[in-house]
Amino acid sequence: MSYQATDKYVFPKWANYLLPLIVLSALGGATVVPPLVFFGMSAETQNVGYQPDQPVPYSHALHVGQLGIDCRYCHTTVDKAAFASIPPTQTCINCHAPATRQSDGSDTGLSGIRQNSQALRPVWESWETGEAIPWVKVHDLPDYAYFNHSAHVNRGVGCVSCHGRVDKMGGAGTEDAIAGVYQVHNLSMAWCLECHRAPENHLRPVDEVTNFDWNPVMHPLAIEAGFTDADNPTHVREAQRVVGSYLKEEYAINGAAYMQSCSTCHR
Amino acid sequence: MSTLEHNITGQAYWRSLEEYANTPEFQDRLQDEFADYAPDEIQSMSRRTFLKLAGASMALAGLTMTGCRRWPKEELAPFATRPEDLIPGVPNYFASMTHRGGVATPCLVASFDGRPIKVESHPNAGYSTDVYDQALTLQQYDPDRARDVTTGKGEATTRSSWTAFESFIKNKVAELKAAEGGKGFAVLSEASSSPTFLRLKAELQSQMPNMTWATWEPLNQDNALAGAKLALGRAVRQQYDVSHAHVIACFDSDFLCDHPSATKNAKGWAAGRKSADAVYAHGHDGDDHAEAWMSRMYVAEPAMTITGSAADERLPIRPSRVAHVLTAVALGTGAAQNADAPTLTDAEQAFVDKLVGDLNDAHHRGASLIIAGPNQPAEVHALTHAINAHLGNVGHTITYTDEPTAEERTNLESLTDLVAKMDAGDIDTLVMLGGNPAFDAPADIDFGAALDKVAHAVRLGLYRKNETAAKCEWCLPAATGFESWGDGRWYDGTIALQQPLILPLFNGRSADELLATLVGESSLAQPSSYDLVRKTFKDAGLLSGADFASVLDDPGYAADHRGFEKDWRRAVHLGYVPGSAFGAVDAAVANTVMPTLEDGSDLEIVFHRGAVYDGRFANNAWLQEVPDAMTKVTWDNPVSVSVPDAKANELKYGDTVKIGGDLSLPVFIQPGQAEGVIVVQVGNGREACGMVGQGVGFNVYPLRTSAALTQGYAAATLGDKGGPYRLAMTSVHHLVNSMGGFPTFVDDTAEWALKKRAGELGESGTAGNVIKEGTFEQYKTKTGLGHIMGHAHGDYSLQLYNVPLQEVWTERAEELVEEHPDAAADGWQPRTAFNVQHAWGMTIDLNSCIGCNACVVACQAENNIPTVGKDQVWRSREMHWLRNDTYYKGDPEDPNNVQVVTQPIACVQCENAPCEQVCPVAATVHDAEGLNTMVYNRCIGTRYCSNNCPYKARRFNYFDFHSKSVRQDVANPWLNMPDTQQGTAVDKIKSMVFNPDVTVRMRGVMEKCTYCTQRIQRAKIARKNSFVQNHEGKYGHEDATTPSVPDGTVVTACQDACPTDCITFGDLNDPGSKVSQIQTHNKRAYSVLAELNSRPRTQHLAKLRNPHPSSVTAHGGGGGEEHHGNEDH
Repeated sequence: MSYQATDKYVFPKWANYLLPLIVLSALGGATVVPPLVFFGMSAETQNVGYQPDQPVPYSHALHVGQLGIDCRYCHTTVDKAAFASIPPTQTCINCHAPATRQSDGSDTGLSGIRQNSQALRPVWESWETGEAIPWVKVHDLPDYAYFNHSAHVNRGVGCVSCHGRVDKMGGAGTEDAIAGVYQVHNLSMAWCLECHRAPENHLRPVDEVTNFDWNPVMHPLAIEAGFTDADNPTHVREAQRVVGSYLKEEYAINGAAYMQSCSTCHR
Repeated sequence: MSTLEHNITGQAYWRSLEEYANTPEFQDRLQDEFADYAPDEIQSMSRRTFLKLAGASMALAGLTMTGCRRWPKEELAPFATRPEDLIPGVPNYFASMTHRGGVATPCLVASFDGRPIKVESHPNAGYSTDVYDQALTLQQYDPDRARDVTTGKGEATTRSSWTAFESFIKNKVAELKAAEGGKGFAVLSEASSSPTFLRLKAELQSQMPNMTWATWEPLNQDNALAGAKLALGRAVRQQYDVSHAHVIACFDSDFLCDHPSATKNAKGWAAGRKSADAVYAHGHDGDDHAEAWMSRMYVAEPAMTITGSAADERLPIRPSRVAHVLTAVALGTGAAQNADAPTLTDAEQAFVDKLVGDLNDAHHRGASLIIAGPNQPAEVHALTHAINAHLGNVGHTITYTDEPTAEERTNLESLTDLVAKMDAGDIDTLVMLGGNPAFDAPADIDFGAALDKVAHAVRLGLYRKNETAAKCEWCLPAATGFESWGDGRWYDGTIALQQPLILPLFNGRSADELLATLVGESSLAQPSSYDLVRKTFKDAGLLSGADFASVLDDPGYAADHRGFEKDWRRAVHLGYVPGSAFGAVDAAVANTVMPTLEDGSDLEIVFHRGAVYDGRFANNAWLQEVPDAMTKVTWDNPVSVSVPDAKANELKYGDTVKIGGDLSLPVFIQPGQAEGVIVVQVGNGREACGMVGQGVGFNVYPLRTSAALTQGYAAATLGDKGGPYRLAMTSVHHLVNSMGGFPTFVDDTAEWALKKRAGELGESGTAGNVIKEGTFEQYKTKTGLGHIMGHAHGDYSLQLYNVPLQEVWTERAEELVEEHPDAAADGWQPRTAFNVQHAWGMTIDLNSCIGCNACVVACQAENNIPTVGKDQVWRSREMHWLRNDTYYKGDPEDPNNVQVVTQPIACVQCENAPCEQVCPVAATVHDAEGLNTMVYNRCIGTRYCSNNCPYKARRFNYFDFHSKSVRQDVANPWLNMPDTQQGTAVDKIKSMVFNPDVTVRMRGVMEKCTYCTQRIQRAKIARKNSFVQNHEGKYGHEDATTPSVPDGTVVTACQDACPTDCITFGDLNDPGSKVSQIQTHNKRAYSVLAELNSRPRTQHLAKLRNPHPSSVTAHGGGGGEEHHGNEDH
């Protein structure tokens, strides 16, 4: 077999330069791709800050923050069931009835705040037709995680611990504040376990769970222990530890072995 | 017969004839967890193609980054107005009833967000739900259900509406009423005990005096009622109090399972078995057993039934011989004098002698029970009345009450008459309220042909795909019991209420509503059942006599506060009207009728209720797939042939045989079945049926003639053989490998095999430690007990690895001992691992388990367990978490000498779990309370755990069975199958049956019993919430009782369904809990496969039998030590 015949099977000379190129790209890829995948797919990137448009520009900042309505006025089942439950349209109508007088002139017994608001139109439509208002779910756990609100709210885990300062979400009382609730924490399993391993760092008295401004330094035990300065991070941390450890005992919260069992959250 | 000839050693217990024979195929199965797993067979493409495709799809996924997106946007749809007391995601339980064959059964129905998803037993009613009741929720969401009113037959079928039908039928009724008082009008209904139904029926009959009303149930009590009429002069219903029966004799009767009052019978029977434990109760020790007794059950039957398997003395005989044996009993007891003594075989004579001896025992006067089965002719029933009366049982173990249908013709007469009229062309319009007579009418009554002669046939039914509906002009969708109001009567006559939980899914109407339209009381345009039922209750004053005080803890209850509205609400809440049961009626035996003693035939065919009842549940995959109690066959109805007959005719598994006409059935060889008998199950073989039931099994109704119905059998022949045919039979699946000893180490295997061959292994009745069984006599003495219970528990000092967090558990155990010093002194020991907060445990009493399968279907309904279809069952891939193993004992070639023990077994939650030690990804690990949890989203499907599970309790999702149809071909599993994670793959209607508290598993993951962990969590969270909420002194300890869940709060699905309460579940940390009491004090408790030291949390209680003393000497032990199989080989 002649030299010419086998020539086409031999790499050309310039191919020698490919090797360093390949090595360089591989090195570059190795530096760029893992962080890209790691950070790009992390629960933090994926979930935190998720703030979908809602059908009604409901403002928690106005209702909770300014008017001081308790969470449980609307989310009635939060201390009874797994779901906090989005309030039925009826709850909105208690204050925002489309009309306060019926056609025969009798009083409905409802108050008609903002009867001219365009933003409330979907609420009234739902009230008239009986169709649900299609709220968009913000805090969405995978279906195999069986989170139970009542189990947490009745053990002194505050709303703010998972949902953040909901009382400051949504433009305060402005008509164009469409942005609703957004996700503050990543709600990943690692994040859940952080508290399940050391619940004392997050517990508060059960009657303070809906209080967004609660601070452990307010608690009598913290005062007794001398941790009273709300602006001093050490004081706050130590106060929380004192109060949390006490409440953990008080509410018969189980130890880490129990709290980390798979069956606690997965069924 | 090859299967019987391979036997080397003979097993003390065996689950199938293959196992008994120890064939090489069986050995393969025993060694191989995944039988018939040949990937190349099921793979549709070569490995190379697969890799190419896999690579390409990975690359595509990478390119588009489709994997990296937030999961789909979900919407929340709150109510506009939320009904009071409705909390989203929290199940509500409604008291209701199920209705089948003219008898109502009380139940509770769990409703999740408006979807009824689970039927539970009513807690204070005395009846439990059975396997059919448990499967009703699947039927509710069957996509094959009729969805529209249709008119026209065959190709000409068009959609119509309720209003169109209503105007048609009203005109028709008016026209026929005017003509000859409704002579041309007929109604054919299923049996009903509903007061509303009967009121409307009477109204219709009074409006049209000449109309024809027929009732047809293929599985009926005609013979029993005719027998009562013969003997007592009136048709009465017999209510058994089995709990006080010391001697029970059943003649061709499966009264524990196939009886309108079966669950109550079973409960009573179990009471008479559990009473044996008084031997060791409360400080009694061994020989002190004055209180203890145990019933003795005699069963003479052709087939091997559930009742027969629970018998202490069993006689397999041809159905025609029952009259002979019963006559001998009547003569022996003196209930009859003037009759010739029948000629009996030796076995029959021995059986009669023992039974008569027991019945004549003065101690048993008024404490025995003679029961004949529904197949037996009327004269046999009549004779049982005479014997029962003679033995003083009436008023004690038997109460006679009214029979609501007493004045009516029998089912058979009524159908015969109707068909004659139809044939004669007298019927212009026939309205059928359910039923499927074109399929299930006796063979000599050609209902289908007669139906063609009816000008206008109307059928109200759940399905339009139905043999009868196919010939009807109008097909109307029926509402299920979950969709309409209704009422009925329990077997004891108590009036029950049925309340709807959901609006009719497919716009169906109930039979009551249709009848009310016929009489002009309501219109079909809107559901009206609520008003109809209330009107019945109001007009007939059904509530005025209600005794609410006896059941309601209601101090405000007083006669002057009553009123219809209050009483109605109470009755709806309860689901029944207390105190409305039939009163006892006096009925004396007027004349002792002796049955005519016929020779019968050489081969007699017996018809039994099928897995799908009479065929109405043919489209219910749960019922199709539940393995038959005795044969373990799924998705089929083979012909059961006795072992001697199979041998004589050279039949083997895989054959089919012609049994009459041109009907060939696959052969199942049934140990313990009487020689000369073949048994078939009705119900399958539907020609027109939904997706699931179409073409499953064989239709045996063409062999069931009117004569067979009254006579109890038909003559048969075994004709040409055919085959091969594949039966999907689970008796050879999930084999527990501990038959007579277990090789501890691999090196010992050879030695073990040699010893086994030499018969040196096999301590007392061991079958390893799988089944323990003994006699009541043995149980009464300490030596005997030791004999039964050898090696009941493992050696806990041995373990493979140290349990993690040992100090946590030890501390807790020490605390518990300090908390309960008395209990600890009394023998109670807390579990020393996995005991925070609770330590869950279970016991299953083999002595009261009858193997009825209600638990299996209840588990399936509760835990979203898929059905897999016949082909996949055949490949050993059935998904039932809980299975019922049937262990046979004795020489299969001698039907007289076969005994059966049924053992429900699910994951036993080993503390020292073999599965956990081999999982590479820690997908199965213990939780703190002792549950061996299965983390589905961690599982990667290596199946190591299943391979290492000695109990064979783990199930693997080979396919996405929920999205796959059970009939779907799986030739291209990789390409063709949708998966549930796509969200849209499961039919929207089908997915409504899912329990939202349990994950719906994907393909490729392992799953198994978790003690209903969702129910445990629900109870724990509720208890803990109230614990904290009731914390009165806010920062004090005033109310610091334990946050533990009180005993009895968590009831597992299987436990709830069990009619005999053989399953107990609870907290082993609580020495007072029932399960603690049993595991600590019951001497029959043992751990299955204790030799493996896996420390199961589920313990079984040994089976006891109470054979006649003479049989014990004859058979040498009656339980414990025998190895029947050895003698012949």
